[in-house]
Parts: sequence; C-alpha cells; structure tokens
Amino acid sequence: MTRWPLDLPTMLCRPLFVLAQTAPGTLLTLAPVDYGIIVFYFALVLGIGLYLKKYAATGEDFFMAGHKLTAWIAGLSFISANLSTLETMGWSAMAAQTGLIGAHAYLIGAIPAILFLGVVMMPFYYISRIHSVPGYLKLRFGEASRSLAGVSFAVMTIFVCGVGMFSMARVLNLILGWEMQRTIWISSICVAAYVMLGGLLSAILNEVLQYFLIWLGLALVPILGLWEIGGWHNLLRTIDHIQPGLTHLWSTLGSPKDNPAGMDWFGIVFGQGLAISFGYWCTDFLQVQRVMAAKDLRSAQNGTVIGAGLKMMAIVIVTIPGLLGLAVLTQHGIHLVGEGAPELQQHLPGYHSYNDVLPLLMCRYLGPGLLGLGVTAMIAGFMSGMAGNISAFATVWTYDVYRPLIRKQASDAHYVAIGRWASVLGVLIAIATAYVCFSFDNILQELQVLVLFFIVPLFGTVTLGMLWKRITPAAGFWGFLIGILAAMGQWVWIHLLPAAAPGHWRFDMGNVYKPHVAQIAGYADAGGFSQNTYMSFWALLVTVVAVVLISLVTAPKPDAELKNLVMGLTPRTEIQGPWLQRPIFWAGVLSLVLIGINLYLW
Amino acid sequence: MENETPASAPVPKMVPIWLIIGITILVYGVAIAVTGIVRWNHPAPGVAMTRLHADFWWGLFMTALGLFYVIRFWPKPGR
Repeated sequence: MTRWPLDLPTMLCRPLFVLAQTAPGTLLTLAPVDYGIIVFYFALVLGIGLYLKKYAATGEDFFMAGHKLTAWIAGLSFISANLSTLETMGWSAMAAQTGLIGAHAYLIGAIPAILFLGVVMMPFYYISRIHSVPGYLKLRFGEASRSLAGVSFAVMTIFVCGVGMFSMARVLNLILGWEMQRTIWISSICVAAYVMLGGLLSAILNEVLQYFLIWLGLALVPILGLWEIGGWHNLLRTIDHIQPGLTHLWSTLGSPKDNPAGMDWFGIVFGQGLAISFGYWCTDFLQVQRVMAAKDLRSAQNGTVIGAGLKMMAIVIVTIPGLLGLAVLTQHGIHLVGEGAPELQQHLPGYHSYNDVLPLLMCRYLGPGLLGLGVTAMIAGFMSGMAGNISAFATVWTYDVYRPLIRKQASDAHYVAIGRWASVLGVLIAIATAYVCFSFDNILQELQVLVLFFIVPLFGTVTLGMLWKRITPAAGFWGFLIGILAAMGQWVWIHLLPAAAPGHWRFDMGNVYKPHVAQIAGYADAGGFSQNTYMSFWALLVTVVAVVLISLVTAPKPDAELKNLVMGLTPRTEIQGPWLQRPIFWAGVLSLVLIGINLYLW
Repeated sequence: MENETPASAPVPKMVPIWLIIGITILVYGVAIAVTGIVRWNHPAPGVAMTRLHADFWWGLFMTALGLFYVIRFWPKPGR
C-alpha cells in the first residue's frame, strides 16, 4: 500500500477499520461485466510479472529498473505510489468533513516538497549513484547511520504493507462483501509473484497502469456530479448553504476553533507543509526510488516535477468528490456523520460515515461496467501500493542490511536472488502483520504514525547533510536518533493518562490526554491530524538543533570524502537544452499555479 | 545451450509500457461501451444521470484513447 499515514490522517484511518464493524451490508453490487473487468486486471498484472522476468536479471535491472525510465514514466510511477485507495477514500472523506482545507494535502502539503526534491535534492541522489536513501547516509555519514535507517525502514515498510493488506480486505469487505482472508491471500500472492519476477520494473509498470485506471475509473464521479449540481459555483453555493466556512483554503485557519479540522495556519504551513510533506516526499525511499530509477538526471528531475503537476491534479478526483458528497448526497437525504455518531451505532437508515463518500458517489453515478472499472481502480490502488512497499523493502534489505551486515562480498546474481526472496519473505511477514491486525488493528494503526516519526527526522538529517559540509558523521547518527526519540516521546506523552492512584500514569494507545495535547499542539481539542502535524514539526526542530549542535563539537569529514554529496562540493548540474525541457522552468510554472489556486480559493 | 545463464542469452527488446497501457484501456473501453449500448434503453436502477449514457460515451472515449496508444506504440520494424 501507499504510505498513507502521511497523506491520510489518523483521524480518518481508524474509522475505516471501525467502519466494517458498524455498517452492516455492502455499499456496492457488481454485475458480471464488472467481475470480468476485475479478473482481467488480475490476469494482466500476473502476465506483466511473467513477461518482465527476463528483463530483471541483473541487480541494476531488478532493484533500479535498469535506470531506463523516461521522465513521464518516472513521474507517473512517483505519484501513483502515493495515490492509493486509502488516499482517495480518506481525503474525499476529509473534504466532505472539513471542506477545502482537505485540499492542502495536494497543494502546500505536497507541491513545494516535490519541487524541492526535483530541483535541489535529486542531483545529490542521482550523481552519487546510490541504490537507496540509506545508501546516501552511508556515503555521507557512515555505516551506523545507514544501518539505523535501513533496518528501521525495512521493518516499517513491512508493517505498512501488512496494514495495507488488512485495510484492503476491510474496505472490500465493507463495500463489496468480499471475504477478508481470501482477499488478503489472493492479492498477496499476486503482488509477491509480480514483484519477485519483475522487481522494481514490474512494480513501476503496475503503478503507471494504476494511475490510468484510477483516473479513468473515478473521473466520471466529479464530471457527472458537477453536471448534476450545476457546476463549480453552484457546488460552492450549496456547501455554503449547508455549512458556511467550508469553501476556503486559508480564511478559516486563523484559529483551530474556526474550522472543523481543528487546524490553524501554523500547523498547516510548518507541520503539514514543512515537516510531514518534506519528510515524506524528499526522504521516503518508496517515493524517491521511482525517480531515482530514471534514465538520466534530467529525466529524474523532470519526472519529479511532472509528479508535482499530477499531484495537484488529483484534487479533481479526490477533493471535488468529497465536496460533492457533502452537497449532492445531503440533498438526496443522506446524512454524513463522524464515526462515533450514535446514528451509525444504531444503524439508522440514511446515515453514513464520511468515509463512505466515495463509494456512495460511485454507486450513484457508475452503472455496470463503469463500476467494475472503479472497483478495479481501487484494487489496483491497494495492490500497487503493496508492491511499492515490497520492492522498496527488497532493495533496502538487500543493499542496506544484507550486504553491509550479513554478506559483504557476493556476485550480482546472488544479490538479485536475495532480492527476489526478500520480496516473497516481505509479503509473508506482511500477511502475518495483516493477521495481527485482526486482533490489534488500533495498535498497528498507531504504529503507522511512527513511520511518520521516522521519516521526519530522516529528512532533517539528510537535508542538513546535503546543504552543509560542516555536518559530521556523529551528528548524522546521533541527531537522527535523537529526532526519532523526540518524535516517539511526544507520541507516548499524549497517550499518557492519569491513573486511578494519585501521581501515577497509565499508557493508553486508544486515548489522548488533552492537557498533554495542548502542550504540543497548542489546543486541547486538536484532532489526530493536527496532533501529528505539530508532533512532526517539533520532531523536525529537535532533529535540526541536535544535528547542528553535535556537528559543532565533533569532527567533520574532509572535503575530499564529501565530493558529489554536499552542496559546494558537487559540480553544478545545469540542465542544458531548450528552456521548455528544464526542470527549473516547470517548477517555476507550477509554483505560480500553486500560488494562483491558493489565492483563488483563499 | 539450454542451461546458459539468462545474462548471456539475448533478450528481446521490451514492449513499450504505453502499448500495455493502451491495450488495457482498449479492452476496458470496448467492454464498457458495449455495456452502455446493451443498457441504452434499460438503465441500471438507482444510478443517477443515466439520460447522459455516460457508460457508452466514456467507453467510446476509452476505446479511442486505447486505440491511439496501441497504434502509436505498436512495435514497428526498424524502431
């Protein structure tokens, strides 16, 4: 699955699990043609894996897709790895609940970070010819940093994949009534087969396919929805009539009390826009691997910039359906409520969770055939996300754990074999994780938040290491570790509740202690999303301060060892050729579009 | 020899990824357009805006898009 905790707030994820327990029956009913479309998809992805096996014989082919990707394929894969089903369902629900504030995930919560990756960071990643982000840490800071990042990333990737499997089974059980265990095994075997056979190339091809399926499967929802309601302006007018204040991006962010998201501008800008977004887009290897596999630096940079444009466009199939859900469904007697609402517990007719918005709209606008395509897009979104995690796990396991720590010298064929087996083993561990979710879904749900807390300190460490040669190996390791501990410490802190005995505390993963939340987020009633953004910001701040302070009292590496790794010691990589092909030009264009959208929807 | 390593065996040029995408869109487009024709006078109950026959037109659009990719990226000798 895609690394959704960064884009799908915890406040929305947990309800997806609860949903299956609260809503009886299924939302969608498929016709034979719909099943035919789904079966064709499964046959196709398996066929792709079999076909690509002969093209994934070397390590370069298996782990980096042979460094053959064009800018468009790299960009589509880069963004598709993020555009999972939980993402589309979750952010549609967010838009239905909080209005346009949910669109920040596609604007300030993504675009600046993606452009920064493309324009500033990609040259360092690409020129150093590394296989992974932990590989950069090895070159820049040494083996200890790489091992810490490699092991943490490998473990967390598998956790995320397992929870993704469980989520897919739950969502398909909810909307289609499919038996959960069968869904887990069929999808897992399929993913394991095509990643083991074709490696990263197979994962990327399926991601590009998934991107087309998601757009073709869901685009009719906003088109028909806007047609039905009479256009964009009527949509905004209708929402303003139902609940004022939901049709603005910024004007209600002066105080967390002024909007249903419980957010303020500081959390959006510095939590979501800086810490979470830059951490996720610039240092999460699952994302970065896609553009690092491009055929040359220009393609890698342009692919990233293309990804930024595609990310912005996703508002059409995610945010607009959410807004339509609020406007159209409400007009037709459907009441959208939060997960804890008593109406849902009592199964009152006409009441649905915000998380149902996208399936309900699919049900409303997509007839037989189209519905099969929409459901296939959802399945593809889950499966390619799982495949992305497995291929990233196989790479990091092989290059950043197995090779440095277990077997330093072996043939390329041996490492490819290890990568293939790591794919299968990764899927098996992920299945075990998915089964654990049956009993402890909330616990594993919370564990996903820790992924976020790992990625944010990683970004602080890597970025400082790239931009300032004074940053030392000791600072790279200890600053990174302190950042992780700071992030986890905050998370533990908000879950510490007063015990019955005076002066004692108990740890409760299912609840937060509001006075502690207020200390971190500045607002006692801050929701899960708001808590995460603030915790991420503080974790980033602690990481940066720790890395800088430790650097000032420890010895840096000599300049000769930092060549091609640090700004100032890396040759400038001006992309030559027509300005229309230069990433900096398109990054500027997208920045202007981003500013324009924010001003228009202020 | 039969047991030669894959690295030493000549590997044929890979089919363009866009061709696979095109074939998939074409197959789905035809299936959806045909369903739209079959259901032209018998719209599915409970589905809104059926007067627009979105399934037929969307299927037709996908068929055209898929055909474009298939024709554009069909392997040609010498390329």
